[in-house]
Amino acid sequence: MSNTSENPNPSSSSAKITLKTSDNELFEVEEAVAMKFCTVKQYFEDEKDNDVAARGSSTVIPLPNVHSAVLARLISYCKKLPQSNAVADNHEEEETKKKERKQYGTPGDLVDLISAANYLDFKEGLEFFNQALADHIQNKSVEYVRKFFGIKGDFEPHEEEKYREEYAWAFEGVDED
Amino acid sequence: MKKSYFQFQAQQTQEFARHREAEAEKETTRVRGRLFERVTLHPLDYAAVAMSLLNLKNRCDKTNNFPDDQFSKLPDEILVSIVSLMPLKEASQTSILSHRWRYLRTFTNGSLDFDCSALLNLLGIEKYCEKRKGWVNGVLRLHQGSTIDELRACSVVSDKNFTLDIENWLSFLLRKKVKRFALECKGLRNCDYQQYTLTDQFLCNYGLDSLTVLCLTYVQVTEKALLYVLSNCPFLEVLSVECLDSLQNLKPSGPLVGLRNVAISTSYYAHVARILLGNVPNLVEASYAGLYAFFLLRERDQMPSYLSLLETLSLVLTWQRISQFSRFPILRNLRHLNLTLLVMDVKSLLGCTSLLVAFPILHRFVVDLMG
Repeated sequence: MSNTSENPNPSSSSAKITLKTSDNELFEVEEAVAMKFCTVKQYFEDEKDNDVAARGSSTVIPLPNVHSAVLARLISYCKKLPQSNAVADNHEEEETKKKERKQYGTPGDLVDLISAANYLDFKEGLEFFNQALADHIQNKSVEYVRKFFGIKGDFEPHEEEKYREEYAWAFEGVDED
Repeated sequence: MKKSYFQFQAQQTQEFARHREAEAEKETTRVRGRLFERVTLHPLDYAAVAMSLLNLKNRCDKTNNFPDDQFSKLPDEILVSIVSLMPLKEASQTSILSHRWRYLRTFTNGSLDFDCSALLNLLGIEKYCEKRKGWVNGVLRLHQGSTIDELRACSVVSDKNFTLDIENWLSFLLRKKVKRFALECKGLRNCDYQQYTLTDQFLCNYGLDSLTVLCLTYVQVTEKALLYVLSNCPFLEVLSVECLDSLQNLKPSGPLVGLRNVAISTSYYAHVARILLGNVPNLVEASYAGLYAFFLLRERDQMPSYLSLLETLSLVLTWQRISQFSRFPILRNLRHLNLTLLVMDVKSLLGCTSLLVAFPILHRFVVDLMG
């Protein structure tokens, strides 16, 4: 990712692609990064096919479902990808990965990131942020998760009682805080 | 005429309200009351009334779909994949969150790890037995995903139906193309029930080509069943079984390229090591106990051909045996050696030095003394 110098060949990896977010901000992104988003890739390739006059790098790709704040974070995640993709073998590595996942903000931010990654069809990102959100939810009591994420417990009291009974084994040994 | 229009609208609202919960309904009644007040005040104000109705509808929709629910932005598929990433226990807890979450968990393809040992310790064996059934069966019955990656469970050999349970689980899992299956049966101390025996007659009804890990503890496997597994699981990497027969005739047809980790124990002392492992070129971890270990060492001259990639070796030997061998076969890739010595009295571990010569890149050497 270090070749920022000017390259005479526009189709090389330093070529830039411009993305336009829902709040009309323009992002100039390296092609290699942008191609990780399959939705962008698809658009880009279709565009190339249609427009043989090939001003590929100057086309602006609109992303009406992605806010600039979210896109900026996705791009910064994308640039860090290579090292975070290493497989975690042992406990220690798993812990560092967990910490790394924690850096991506509040659960609310994560929901936005997941939503955007899903729209952009960005697989690695989706996996990563899904795991980060799963980290947030697990080991928390039902009440906590409901409150934290604004989920409305819409069961009748007797229904909830029944379902809790059904999954009693899952609640054995869970600290109620 | 104007009035009937409002009545019609109000009727619709009423219908709509019937489908909602008590809370939303209360609000409807409240707003509706206000609305009629308004009609009497300004009978001609269509727009305002239409707006109120619209607001009312929106408000009702929102009560259905809690406005602050962060997850409302995400489609169900995403939630399913998030739930898939959690351990079974945590995933199951999410089904209590709300109606939307109730069955999400059942669509996962991930791992179903019934973390038995922890629960067994917590509940004690009797209470555990009682609960276990409904529990595993319940989860499997509700499972909607097309495949299951992994199931880890343990069963207690305690009642007459346990054979049926195990077969039910197995057939369900094999139909769902399970990749990793580990089952640990536990015997009760004061209980004479036989171990479950896995036969080829049972297995041959199912395709096994998805299996990569098969670990069965306290379950016996017939020789034919073992052979069936070995010849029908092209992607098998880890195999750990207890075998019932002597394994004299066990000759897998082709080399078992994928297999990396094998533990087969049997009550007979056939030359399993050579017969079976001769065909496992990529084996990296092996453990031998009792007479196997003895045979392994006795046939050391042939050994390098089939254990040359071995990285981890566990041996259980008596002290006398180990001192009988002055020369160990050389294993150039061995990094971990776990040696369990059955001893009466050991004065010095000097006898182990020959081991260290045989394994040039040994990183870890663990000696356990038992006796």
